[in-house]
Amino acid sequence: MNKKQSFLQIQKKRAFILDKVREFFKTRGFLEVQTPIFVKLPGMEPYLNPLPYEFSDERNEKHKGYVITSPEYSLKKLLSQGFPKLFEITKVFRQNESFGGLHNPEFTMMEWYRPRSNYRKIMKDTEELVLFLARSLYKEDSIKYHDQKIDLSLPWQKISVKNAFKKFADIDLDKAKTLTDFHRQFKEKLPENYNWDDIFYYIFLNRVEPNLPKNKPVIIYDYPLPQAALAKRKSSDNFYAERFEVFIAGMELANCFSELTDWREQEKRLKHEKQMRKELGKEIYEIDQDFINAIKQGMPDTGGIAMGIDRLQMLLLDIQNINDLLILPTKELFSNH
Amino acid sequence: MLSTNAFQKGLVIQIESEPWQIVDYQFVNPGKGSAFMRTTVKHMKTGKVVEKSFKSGEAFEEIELGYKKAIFLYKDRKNGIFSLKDTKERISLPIETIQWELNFLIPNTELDLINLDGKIHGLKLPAKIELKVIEAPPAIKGNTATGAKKTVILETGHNVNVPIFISEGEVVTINTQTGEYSGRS
Repeated sequence: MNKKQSFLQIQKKRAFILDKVREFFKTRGFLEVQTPIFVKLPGMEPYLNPLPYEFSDERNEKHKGYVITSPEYSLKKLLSQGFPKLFEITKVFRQNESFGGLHNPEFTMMEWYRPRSNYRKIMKDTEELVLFLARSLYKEDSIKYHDQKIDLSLPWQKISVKNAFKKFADIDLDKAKTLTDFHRQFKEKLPENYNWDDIFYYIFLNRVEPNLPKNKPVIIYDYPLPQAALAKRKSSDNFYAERFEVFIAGMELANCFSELTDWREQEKRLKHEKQMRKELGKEIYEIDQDFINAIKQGMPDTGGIAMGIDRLQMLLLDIQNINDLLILPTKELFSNH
Repeated sequence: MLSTNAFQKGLVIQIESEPWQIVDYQFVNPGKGSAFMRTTVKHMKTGKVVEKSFKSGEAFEEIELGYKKAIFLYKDRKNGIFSLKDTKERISLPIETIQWELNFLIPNTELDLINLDGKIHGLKLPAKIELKVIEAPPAIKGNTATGAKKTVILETGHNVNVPIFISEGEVVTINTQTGEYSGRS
Protein backbone atom coordinates (compact mmCIF):
# COMPACT_ATOMS: atom_id res chain seq x y z
CA MET A 1 0.00 0.00 0.00
CA ASN A 2 1.10 3.50 -0.71
CA LYS A 3 1.60 4.67 2.86
CA LYS A 4 1.37 8.34 2.01
CA GLN A 5 -2.39 8.11 1.40
CA SER A 6 -4.60 8.68 4.40
CA PHE A 7 -7.96 6.96 4.58
CA LEU A 8 -9.72 10.23 3.79
CA GLN A 9 -7.49 10.84 0.76
CA ILE A 10 -8.24 7.32 -0.52
CA GLN A 11 -11.99 7.96 -0.24
CA LYS A 12 -11.64 11.31 -2.05
CA LYS A 13 -9.72 9.64 -4.88
CA ARG A 14 -12.32 6.85 -5.09
CA ALA A 15 -15.04 9.47 -5.50
CA PHE A 16 -12.95 11.25 -8.14
CA ILE A 17 -12.51 7.98 -10.06
CA LEU A 18 -16.27 7.33 -9.98
CA ASP A 19 -16.95 10.87 -11.27
CA LYS A 20 -14.47 10.33 -14.09
CA VAL A 21 -15.94 6.93 -14.98
CA ARG A 22 -19.37 8.54 -15.30
CA GLU A 23 -17.93 11.40 -17.32
CA PHE A 24 -16.24 8.90 -19.67
CA PHE A 25 -19.47 7.06 -20.43
CA LYS A 26 -21.81 10.05 -20.49
CA THR A 27 -19.66 11.99 -22.96
CA ARG A 28 -19.83 8.89 -25.17
CA GLY A 29 -23.61 8.91 -25.04
CA PHE A 30 -24.24 6.05 -22.62
CA LEU A 31 -27.35 6.15 -20.45
CA GLU A 32 -26.80 5.43 -16.77
CA VAL A 33 -29.50 3.19 -15.27
CA GLN A 34 -30.27 1.64 -11.91
CA THR A 35 -31.72 -1.86 -11.79
CA PRO A 36 -32.82 -3.88 -8.73
CA ILE A 37 -30.26 -5.34 -6.35
CA PHE A 38 -32.95 -7.56 -4.85
CA VAL A 39 -34.46 -9.98 -7.40
CA LYS A 40 -36.59 -13.09 -7.38
CA LEU A 41 -34.28 -15.17 -9.56
CA PRO A 42 -30.55 -14.52 -9.65
CA GLY A 43 -27.94 -15.60 -12.23
CA MET A 44 -27.58 -19.32 -12.85
CA GLU A 45 -23.75 -19.46 -12.90
CA PRO A 46 -23.02 -22.86 -11.36
CA TYR A 47 -19.98 -21.64 -9.45
CA LEU A 48 -21.51 -18.55 -7.87
CA ASN A 49 -23.42 -18.58 -4.61
CA PRO A 50 -26.04 -15.82 -4.48
CA LEU A 51 -27.18 -14.58 -1.08
CA PRO A 52 -30.78 -15.55 -0.28
CA TYR A 53 -32.91 -12.73 1.05
CA GLU A 54 -36.35 -12.77 2.58
CA PHE A 55 -38.64 -9.85 3.27
CA SER A 56 -42.27 -9.13 4.09
CA ASP A 57 -44.80 -6.88 2.42
CA GLU A 58 -47.45 -4.72 4.16
CA ARG A 59 -49.69 -7.76 4.82
CA ASN A 60 -46.74 -9.52 6.41
CA GLU A 61 -46.62 -11.94 3.50
CA LYS A 62 -43.14 -13.35 3.03
CA HIS A 63 -41.25 -13.09 -0.26
CA LYS A 64 -38.11 -14.99 -0.97
CA GLY A 65 -35.47 -13.80 -3.38
CA TYR A 66 -31.80 -13.14 -3.75
CA VAL A 67 -29.47 -10.21 -3.94
CA ILE A 68 -27.83 -10.05 -7.34
CA THR A 69 -24.42 -11.45 -8.25
CA SER A 70 -24.53 -9.19 -11.32
CA PRO A 71 -27.11 -6.83 -12.90
CA GLU A 72 -26.79 -8.64 -16.25
CA TYR A 73 -30.32 -10.09 -16.56
CA SER A 74 -32.00 -6.76 -15.78
CA LEU A 75 -29.80 -4.85 -18.19
CA LYS A 76 -30.45 -7.34 -20.98
CA LYS A 77 -34.18 -7.00 -20.36
CA LEU A 78 -33.76 -3.28 -21.05
CA LEU A 79 -31.71 -3.91 -24.19
CA SER A 80 -34.42 -6.22 -25.49
CA GLN A 81 -36.88 -3.33 -25.13
CA GLY A 82 -34.73 -1.29 -27.48
CA PHE A 83 -32.73 0.72 -24.93
CA PRO A 84 -29.61 2.46 -26.29
CA LYS A 85 -26.08 1.85 -25.01
CA LEU A 86 -26.16 1.92 -21.26
CA PHE A 87 -24.14 1.44 -18.10
CA GLU A 88 -24.78 0.70 -14.46
CA ILE A 89 -22.66 0.97 -11.34
CA THR A 90 -24.16 -1.19 -8.59
CA LYS A 91 -23.47 -3.25 -5.52
CA VAL A 92 -23.38 -7.03 -6.01
CA PHE A 93 -23.04 -9.85 -3.51
CA ARG A 94 -21.43 -13.28 -3.57
CA GLN A 95 -21.09 -15.90 -0.88
CA ASN A 96 -18.17 -18.20 -0.10
CA GLU A 97 -15.53 -15.67 -0.99
CA SER A 98 -12.71 -14.40 1.18
CA PHE A 99 -13.04 -11.40 3.47
CA GLY A 100 -10.22 -9.38 1.99
CA GLY A 101 -7.40 -9.75 -0.48
CA LEU A 102 -9.02 -9.44 -3.90
CA HIS A 103 -12.54 -10.25 -2.66
CA ASN A 104 -15.23 -8.85 -0.41
CA PRO A 105 -18.69 -10.48 -0.26
CA GLU A 106 -20.26 -7.12 -1.15
CA PHE A 107 -18.55 -5.22 -3.94
CA THR A 108 -19.17 -2.64 -6.64
CA MET A 109 -19.65 -3.79 -10.20
CA MET A 110 -19.93 -1.73 -13.33
CA GLU A 111 -21.48 -3.16 -16.45
CA TRP A 112 -21.82 -1.47 -19.81
CA TYR A 113 -23.52 -2.65 -22.98
CA ARG A 114 -23.32 -1.56 -26.60
CA PRO A 115 -26.28 -2.72 -28.72
CA ARG A 116 -25.56 -3.40 -32.43
CA SER A 117 -21.94 -4.02 -31.54
CA ASN A 118 -19.63 -6.74 -30.24
CA TYR A 119 -16.75 -7.49 -27.89
CA ARG A 120 -14.14 -5.80 -30.11
CA LYS A 121 -15.66 -2.38 -29.49
CA ILE A 122 -15.84 -3.10 -25.76
CA MET A 123 -12.12 -3.95 -25.76
CA LYS A 124 -11.49 -0.48 -27.09
CA ASP A 125 -13.78 1.13 -24.47
CA THR A 126 -11.92 -0.73 -21.73
CA GLU A 127 -8.47 0.34 -22.89
CA GLU A 128 -9.56 3.94 -23.33
CA LEU A 129 -11.37 4.06 -19.97
CA VAL A 130 -8.40 2.86 -17.92
CA LEU A 131 -6.00 5.15 -19.80
CA PHE A 132 -8.39 8.09 -19.36
CA LEU A 133 -8.54 7.45 -15.59
CA ALA A 134 -4.75 7.23 -15.24
CA ARG A 135 -4.39 10.49 -17.17
CA SER A 136 -7.07 12.17 -15.06
CA LEU A 137 -5.36 11.10 -11.84
CA TYR A 138 -1.67 11.38 -12.70
CA LYS A 139 -1.44 13.07 -16.12
CA GLU A 140 0.52 10.02 -17.27
CA ASP A 141 -0.03 7.00 -19.51
CA SER A 142 1.16 4.63 -16.81
CA ILE A 143 0.46 3.70 -13.22
CA LYS A 144 2.60 2.23 -10.49
CA TYR A 145 1.27 -0.83 -8.72
CA HIS A 146 3.16 -2.74 -6.05
CA ASP A 147 6.48 -1.19 -7.15
CA GLN A 148 5.81 -2.16 -10.77
CA LYS A 149 5.34 0.44 -13.47
CA ILE A 150 2.44 -0.54 -15.73
CA ASP A 151 2.37 0.97 -19.19
CA LEU A 152 -1.25 1.64 -20.21
CA SER A 153 -0.60 3.09 -23.66
CA LEU A 154 -2.78 1.82 -26.50
CA PRO A 155 -3.34 -0.65 -27.98
CA TRP A 156 -3.01 -3.24 -25.21
CA GLN A 157 -1.53 -6.65 -25.81
CA LYS A 158 -4.07 -9.30 -26.80
CA ILE A 159 -3.72 -13.04 -26.89
CA SER A 160 -6.34 -15.70 -27.57
CA VAL A 161 -6.95 -18.37 -24.96
CA LYS A 162 -6.01 -20.96 -27.55
CA ASN A 163 -2.65 -19.33 -28.27
CA ALA A 164 -1.94 -18.73 -24.60
CA PHE A 165 -2.51 -22.41 -23.75
CA LYS A 166 -0.35 -23.45 -26.69
CA LYS A 167 2.43 -21.03 -25.85
CA PHE A 168 2.63 -21.41 -22.08
CA ALA A 169 1.31 -24.91 -21.40
CA ASP A 170 1.89 -26.63 -24.75
CA ILE A 171 -1.75 -27.65 -24.90
CA ASP A 172 -3.84 -27.66 -28.04
CA LEU A 173 -7.27 -26.66 -26.74
CA ASP A 174 -8.89 -27.80 -30.00
CA LYS A 175 -7.92 -31.28 -28.87
CA ALA A 176 -8.85 -30.78 -25.22
CA LYS A 177 -12.60 -30.94 -25.41
CA THR A 178 -12.86 -33.67 -22.81
CA LEU A 179 -11.15 -34.30 -19.50
CA THR A 180 -9.21 -37.29 -20.86
CA ASP A 181 -7.92 -35.13 -23.72
CA PHE A 182 -6.50 -32.72 -21.16
CA HIS A 183 -4.79 -35.48 -19.20
CA ARG A 184 -3.36 -37.00 -22.36
CA GLN A 185 -1.82 -33.73 -23.52
CA PHE A 186 -0.41 -32.32 -20.31
CA LYS A 187 3.20 -33.39 -19.78
CA GLU A 188 2.94 -33.52 -15.99
CA LYS A 189 0.48 -35.18 -13.69
CA LEU A 190 -2.78 -33.28 -13.35
CA PRO A 191 -4.76 -33.41 -10.12
CA GLU A 192 -7.33 -36.18 -9.86
CA ASN A 193 -11.05 -35.51 -9.39
CA TYR A 194 -11.00 -32.08 -11.01
CA ASN A 195 -13.70 -31.53 -13.64
CA TRP A 196 -13.06 -29.92 -17.04
CA ASP A 197 -13.56 -26.36 -15.78
CA ASP A 198 -11.26 -27.00 -12.81
CA ILE A 199 -8.49 -28.37 -15.03
CA PHE A 200 -8.88 -25.46 -17.43
CA TYR A 201 -8.48 -22.97 -14.60
CA TYR A 202 -5.73 -25.02 -12.90
CA ILE A 203 -3.61 -24.83 -16.05
CA PHE A 204 -4.54 -21.20 -16.55
CA LEU A 205 -3.46 -20.23 -13.03
CA ASN A 206 -0.35 -22.39 -12.87
CA ARG A 207 0.95 -21.99 -16.40
CA VAL A 208 -0.63 -19.15 -18.31
CA GLU A 209 -1.13 -16.39 -15.78
CA PRO A 210 2.40 -16.45 -14.26
CA ASN A 211 3.77 -15.94 -17.80
CA LEU A 212 1.64 -12.93 -18.67
CA PRO A 213 3.56 -9.63 -18.82
CA LYS A 214 3.56 -7.71 -15.53
CA ASN A 215 4.43 -4.30 -16.95
CA LYS A 216 1.33 -3.87 -19.11
CA PRO A 217 -2.31 -5.00 -19.27
CA VAL A 218 -3.25 -8.11 -21.24
CA ILE A 219 -6.54 -8.99 -22.88
CA ILE A 220 -7.20 -12.73 -23.14
CA TYR A 221 -9.94 -13.50 -25.64
CA ASP A 222 -12.04 -16.27 -27.22
CA TYR A 223 -12.76 -18.73 -24.44
CA PRO A 224 -13.83 -22.34 -24.92
CA LEU A 225 -17.61 -22.65 -24.82
CA PRO A 226 -17.87 -24.28 -21.37
CA GLN A 227 -16.23 -21.12 -19.99
CA ALA A 228 -18.66 -18.72 -21.63
CA ALA A 229 -22.30 -19.56 -20.89
CA LEU A 230 -23.73 -16.17 -21.84
CA ALA A 231 -21.47 -15.47 -24.81
CA LYS A 232 -22.03 -15.87 -28.51
CA ARG A 233 -20.14 -18.56 -30.39
CA LYS A 234 -17.48 -17.45 -32.89
CA SER A 235 -19.58 -19.27 -35.48
CA SER A 236 -22.03 -22.15 -35.25
CA ASP A 237 -20.34 -25.42 -34.16
CA ASN A 238 -17.26 -23.47 -33.13
CA PHE A 239 -15.63 -24.56 -29.84
CA TYR A 240 -14.87 -20.95 -28.87
CA ALA A 241 -17.09 -18.07 -27.82
CA GLU A 242 -16.55 -14.33 -27.97
CA ARG A 243 -15.51 -13.63 -24.41
CA PHE A 244 -12.52 -11.68 -23.14
CA GLU A 245 -10.94 -10.96 -19.80
CA VAL A 246 -8.65 -8.14 -18.80
CA PHE A 247 -5.67 -8.84 -16.56
CA ILE A 248 -3.60 -6.09 -14.99
CA ALA A 249 -0.85 -6.94 -12.49
CA GLY A 250 -2.19 -10.49 -12.23
CA MET A 251 -5.61 -9.17 -11.25
CA GLU A 252 -8.72 -10.14 -13.20
CA LEU A 253 -10.34 -6.76 -13.77
CA ALA A 254 -13.17 -7.33 -16.24
CA ASN A 255 -15.06 -9.97 -18.17
CA CYS A 256 -16.77 -9.30 -21.50
CA PHE A 257 -19.02 -11.14 -23.94
CA SER A 258 -20.47 -10.69 -27.34
CA GLU A 259 -23.84 -11.45 -25.81
CA LEU A 260 -25.75 -14.55 -26.72
CA THR A 261 -28.90 -13.47 -28.59
CA ASP A 262 -30.34 -16.86 -29.56
CA TRP A 263 -33.01 -17.54 -26.93
CA ARG A 264 -33.18 -21.27 -27.63
CA GLU A 265 -29.44 -21.63 -27.13
CA GLN A 266 -29.68 -19.41 -24.03
CA GLU A 267 -32.42 -21.54 -22.51
CA LYS A 268 -30.49 -24.71 -23.30
CA ARG A 269 -27.34 -23.40 -21.62
CA LEU A 270 -29.25 -22.20 -18.54
CA LYS A 271 -30.90 -25.63 -18.20
CA HIS A 272 -27.46 -27.17 -18.40
CA GLU A 273 -26.19 -24.78 -15.74
CA LYS A 274 -29.14 -25.56 -13.50
CA GLN A 275 -28.29 -29.24 -13.83
CA MET A 276 -24.67 -28.45 -12.94
CA ARG A 277 -25.79 -26.56 -9.85
CA LYS A 278 -27.67 -29.67 -8.82
CA GLU A 279 -24.63 -31.89 -9.35
CA LEU A 280 -22.38 -29.48 -7.45
CA GLY A 281 -24.82 -29.48 -4.54
CA LYS A 282 -25.60 -25.76 -4.90
CA GLU A 283 -28.86 -24.02 -4.12
CA ILE A 284 -31.39 -24.60 -6.92
CA TYR A 285 -33.85 -22.04 -8.27
CA GLU A 286 -35.88 -21.63 -11.43
CA ILE A 287 -34.65 -20.20 -14.70
CA ASP A 288 -35.79 -16.58 -15.07
CA GLN A 289 -38.35 -17.02 -17.88
CA ASP A 290 -38.76 -13.24 -18.16
CA PHE A 291 -35.11 -13.13 -19.14
CA ILE A 292 -35.58 -15.85 -21.79
CA ASN A 293 -38.72 -14.07 -23.05
CA ALA A 294 -36.87 -10.79 -23.26
CA ILE A 295 -34.21 -12.34 -25.47
CA LYS A 296 -36.93 -14.02 -27.52
CA GLN A 297 -38.56 -10.61 -28.03
CA GLY A 298 -35.41 -9.50 -29.80
CA MET A 299 -32.11 -8.81 -28.23
CA PRO A 300 -29.83 -7.00 -30.70
CA ASP A 301 -26.24 -8.14 -31.20
CA THR A 302 -24.57 -6.61 -28.19
CA GLY A 303 -21.19 -6.31 -26.57
CA GLY A 304 -21.34 -6.23 -22.77
CA ILE A 305 -18.85 -6.22 -19.94
CA ALA A 306 -18.62 -6.44 -16.15
CA MET A 307 -15.79 -4.63 -14.41
CA GLY A 308 -14.88 -4.69 -10.73
CA ILE A 309 -14.85 -1.06 -9.66
CA ASP A 310 -13.09 -1.77 -6.37
CA ARG A 311 -10.31 -3.58 -8.19
CA LEU A 312 -10.05 -0.76 -10.69
CA GLN A 313 -9.66 1.66 -7.78
CA MET A 314 -7.10 -0.63 -6.11
CA LEU A 315 -5.01 -0.66 -9.30
CA LEU A 316 -5.22 3.07 -9.83
CA LEU A 317 -4.47 3.90 -6.19
CA ASP A 318 -1.77 1.26 -5.64
CA ILE A 319 -3.70 -0.62 -2.96
CA GLN A 320 -3.04 -4.36 -2.67
CA ASN A 321 -5.74 -5.40 -0.24
CA ILE A 322 -9.39 -4.48 -0.80
CA ASN A 323 -9.72 -4.06 2.98
CA ASP A 324 -7.44 -1.02 2.74
CA LEU A 325 -9.76 0.50 0.13
CA LEU A 326 -13.29 -0.09 1.40
CA ILE A 327 -15.17 1.76 4.08
CA LEU A 328 -15.98 -0.83 6.75
CA PRO A 329 -15.04 -3.98 4.81
CA THR A 330 -16.87 -7.20 5.70
CA LYS A 331 -13.84 -8.46 7.58
CA GLU A 332 -14.02 -5.54 9.98
CA LEU A 333 -17.75 -5.98 10.50
CA PHE A 334 -17.97 -9.76 10.79
CA SER A 335 -14.59 -11.31 11.67
CA ASN A 336 -13.78 -12.16 15.26
CA HIS A 337 -10.11 -11.52 15.68
CA MET B 1 -5.04 -34.09 5.97
CA LEU B 2 -5.24 -30.35 5.74
CA SER B 3 -7.47 -28.45 3.35
CA THR B 4 -6.77 -25.10 1.68
CA ASN B 5 -9.29 -23.64 4.16
CA ALA B 6 -6.75 -24.26 6.91
CA PHE B 7 -3.84 -22.66 5.06
CA GLN B 8 -1.67 -20.43 7.20
CA LYS B 9 1.57 -18.67 6.60
CA GLY B 10 4.44 -20.84 7.80
CA LEU B 11 2.56 -24.13 7.59
CA VAL B 12 4.52 -26.95 5.98
CA ILE B 13 2.64 -29.30 3.66
CA GLN B 14 3.53 -32.13 1.37
CA ILE B 15 3.14 -31.45 -2.36
CA GLU B 16 4.16 -34.30 -4.66
CA SER B 17 6.06 -35.93 -1.77
CA GLU B 18 8.15 -32.82 -1.08
CA PRO B 19 7.99 -30.48 1.93
CA TRP B 20 6.86 -26.95 1.07
CA GLN B 21 6.22 -24.09 3.44
CA ILE B 22 3.35 -21.70 2.76
CA VAL B 23 4.70 -18.18 2.33
CA ASP B 24 1.48 -16.54 1.20
CA TYR B 25 -1.93 -17.43 -0.17
CA GLN B 26 -4.79 -15.64 -1.87
CA PHE B 27 -8.31 -16.76 -2.59
CA VAL B 28 -9.35 -16.34 -6.23
CA ASN B 29 -12.76 -17.02 -7.70
CA PRO B 30 -13.49 -15.91 -11.23
CA GLY B 31 -16.99 -17.39 -11.07
CA LYS B 32 -16.55 -19.55 -14.16
CA GLY B 33 -15.27 -22.60 -12.32
CA SER B 34 -14.38 -23.65 -8.80
CA ALA B 35 -12.61 -21.22 -6.52
CA PHE B 36 -8.85 -21.61 -6.20
CA MET B 37 -6.19 -20.78 -3.68
CA ARG B 38 -3.24 -19.06 -5.31
CA THR B 39 -0.38 -20.04 -3.04
CA THR B 40 3.26 -19.02 -2.78
CA VAL B 41 5.31 -21.88 -1.36
CA LYS B 42 8.94 -22.27 -0.41
CA HIS B 43 10.72 -25.60 -0.73
CA MET B 44 11.93 -26.43 2.76
CA LYS B 45 15.29 -27.81 1.70
CA THR B 46 16.28 -25.83 -1.38
CA GLY B 47 14.60 -22.55 -0.38
CA LYS B 48 13.17 -22.26 -3.90
CA VAL B 49 10.02 -20.11 -3.96
CA VAL B 50 7.27 -20.83 -6.50
CA GLU B 51 3.59 -20.06 -7.03
CA LYS B 52 1.17 -22.96 -7.12
CA SER B 53 -2.59 -22.79 -7.34
CA PHE B 54 -4.93 -25.40 -5.94
CA LYS B 55 -8.65 -25.91 -6.08
CA SER B 56 -10.27 -24.55 -2.95
CA GLY B 57 -10.89 -27.40 -0.53
CA GLU B 58 -8.10 -29.64 -1.84
CA ALA B 59 -6.35 -31.50 0.98
CA PHE B 60 -2.67 -32.05 1.72
CA GLU B 61 -0.60 -34.09 4.14
CA GLU B 62 0.79 -31.96 6.91
CA ILE B 63 4.46 -32.61 7.62
CA GLU B 64 5.68 -33.49 11.10
CA LEU B 65 8.43 -31.08 11.99
CA GLY B 66 10.88 -30.85 14.82
CA TYR B 67 11.45 -27.51 16.46
CA LYS B 68 14.41 -26.02 18.30
CA LYS B 69 13.98 -23.09 20.65
CA ALA B 70 16.06 -20.12 19.62
CA ILE B 71 16.32 -16.36 19.87
CA PHE B 72 16.75 -13.85 17.09
CA LEU B 73 20.01 -11.92 17.40
CA TYR B 74 20.27 -9.56 14.43
CA LYS B 75 20.27 -9.42 10.67
CA ASP B 76 23.07 -8.40 8.37
CA ARG B 77 22.89 -7.71 4.65
CA LYS B 78 22.48 -11.37 3.74
CA ASN B 79 21.27 -13.34 6.72
CA GLY B 80 19.12 -13.37 9.80
CA ILE B 81 21.25 -14.63 12.71
CA PHE B 82 19.76 -16.80 15.46
CA SER B 83 21.12 -18.52 18.53
CA LEU B 84 19.89 -21.91 19.73
CA LYS B 85 18.73 -21.72 23.35
CA ASP B 86 20.33 -24.92 24.60
CA THR B 87 23.71 -25.00 22.82
CA LYS B 88 24.07 -21.29 21.96
CA GLU B 89 24.99 -22.42 18.44
CA ARG B 90 24.64 -19.65 15.83
CA ILE B 91 22.32 -20.32 12.92
CA SER B 92 22.06 -18.16 9.77
CA LEU B 93 19.02 -18.05 7.51
CA PRO B 94 19.13 -16.12 4.22
CA ILE B 95 17.08 -12.92 4.41
CA GLU B 96 15.13 -13.67 1.24
CA THR B 97 13.76 -16.87 2.78
CA ILE B 98 12.44 -15.15 5.92
CA GLN B 99 11.23 -11.81 4.60
CA TRP B 100 7.78 -12.04 6.15
CA GLU B 101 9.09 -13.19 9.51
CA LEU B 102 11.62 -10.35 9.67
CA ASN B 103 8.72 -7.89 9.77
CA PHE B 104 8.15 -8.99 13.37
CA LEU B 105 11.62 -9.78 14.73
CA ILE B 106 13.56 -7.63 17.14
CA PRO B 107 16.70 -8.84 18.98
CA ASN B 108 16.00 -11.42 21.70
CA THR B 109 12.59 -12.45 20.33
CA GLU B 110 12.02 -16.10 21.20
CA LEU B 111 10.94 -18.39 18.41
CA ASP B 112 11.14 -21.92 17.05
CA LEU B 113 13.55 -22.91 14.32
CA ILE B 114 12.24 -25.67 12.07
CA ASN B 115 14.26 -28.85 12.13
CA LEU B 116 13.77 -31.20 9.20
CA ASP B 117 15.98 -34.27 8.71
CA GLY B 118 18.57 -32.90 11.13
CA LYS B 119 18.93 -29.49 9.50
CA ILE B 120 17.43 -26.08 10.20
CA HIS B 121 15.10 -24.86 7.44
CA GLY B 122 13.24 -21.72 8.37
CA LEU B 123 11.42 -20.61 11.48
CA LYS B 124 8.07 -20.51 13.15
CA LEU B 125 6.98 -17.27 14.77
CA PRO B 126 4.85 -17.08 17.90
CA ALA B 127 1.21 -16.40 16.88
CA LYS B 128 1.40 -12.98 18.48
CA ILE B 129 4.29 -10.63 19.02
CA GLU B 130 4.49 -7.37 20.95
CA LEU B 131 6.15 -4.48 19.17
CA LYS B 132 6.66 -0.82 19.93
CA VAL B 133 5.17 1.90 17.74
CA ILE B 134 8.00 4.22 16.68
CA GLU B 135 6.10 6.53 14.38
CA ALA B 136 2.44 7.44 14.55
CA PRO B 137 0.68 10.31 12.79
CA PRO B 138 -1.72 12.27 14.97
CA ALA B 139 -5.38 11.36 14.50
CA ILE B 140 -6.88 13.34 11.63
CA LYS B 141 -10.45 14.53 11.59
CA GLY B 142 -12.34 12.74 8.84
CA ASN B 143 -10.19 9.69 9.26
CA THR B 144 -12.60 8.14 11.66
CA ALA B 145 -15.08 6.33 9.42
CA THR B 146 -13.44 2.98 8.92
CA GLY B 147 -13.56 1.85 12.53
CA ALA B 148 -11.10 4.71 13.00
CA LYS B 149 -7.77 3.54 11.64
CA LYS B 150 -4.39 5.07 10.98
CA THR B 151 -1.12 3.63 9.73
CA VAL B 152 1.82 3.51 12.13
CA ILE B 153 5.39 2.23 11.84
CA LEU B 154 6.60 -0.44 14.25
CA GLU B 155 10.14 -0.76 15.60
CA THR B 156 10.85 -3.42 12.96
CA GLY B 157 9.88 -1.03 10.16
CA HIS B 158 6.62 -2.89 9.49
CA ASN B 159 3.58 -0.71 8.73
CA VAL B 160 0.30 -1.57 10.36
CA ASN B 161 -3.18 -0.09 10.64
CA VAL B 162 -4.18 0.60 14.23
CA PRO B 163 -7.05 2.36 16.00
CA ILE B 164 -6.48 6.12 16.13
CA PHE B 165 -6.04 6.15 19.94
CA ILE B 166 -2.65 4.38 19.62
CA SER B 167 0.23 6.80 20.04
CA GLU B 168 3.96 6.78 19.48
CA GLY B 169 5.95 4.74 22.02
CA GLU B 170 3.08 2.42 22.84
CA VAL B 171 3.50 -1.35 22.59
CA VAL B 172 0.93 -3.20 20.46
CA THR B 173 0.23 -6.87 19.83
CA ILE B 174 0.53 -8.00 16.23
CA ASN B 175 -0.94 -11.15 14.69
CA THR B 176 2.05 -12.64 12.84
CA GLN B 177 -0.24 -14.54 10.43
CA THR B 178 -1.93 -11.50 9.00
CA GLY B 179 0.53 -8.81 10.06
CA GLU B 180 -2.42 -6.94 11.53
CA TYR B 181 -2.97 -5.20 14.84
CA SER B 182 -4.67 -7.46 17.33
CA GLY B 183 -4.66 -5.36 20.48
CA ARG B 184 -2.99 -3.02 22.91
CA SER B 185 -0.36 -4.61 25.11
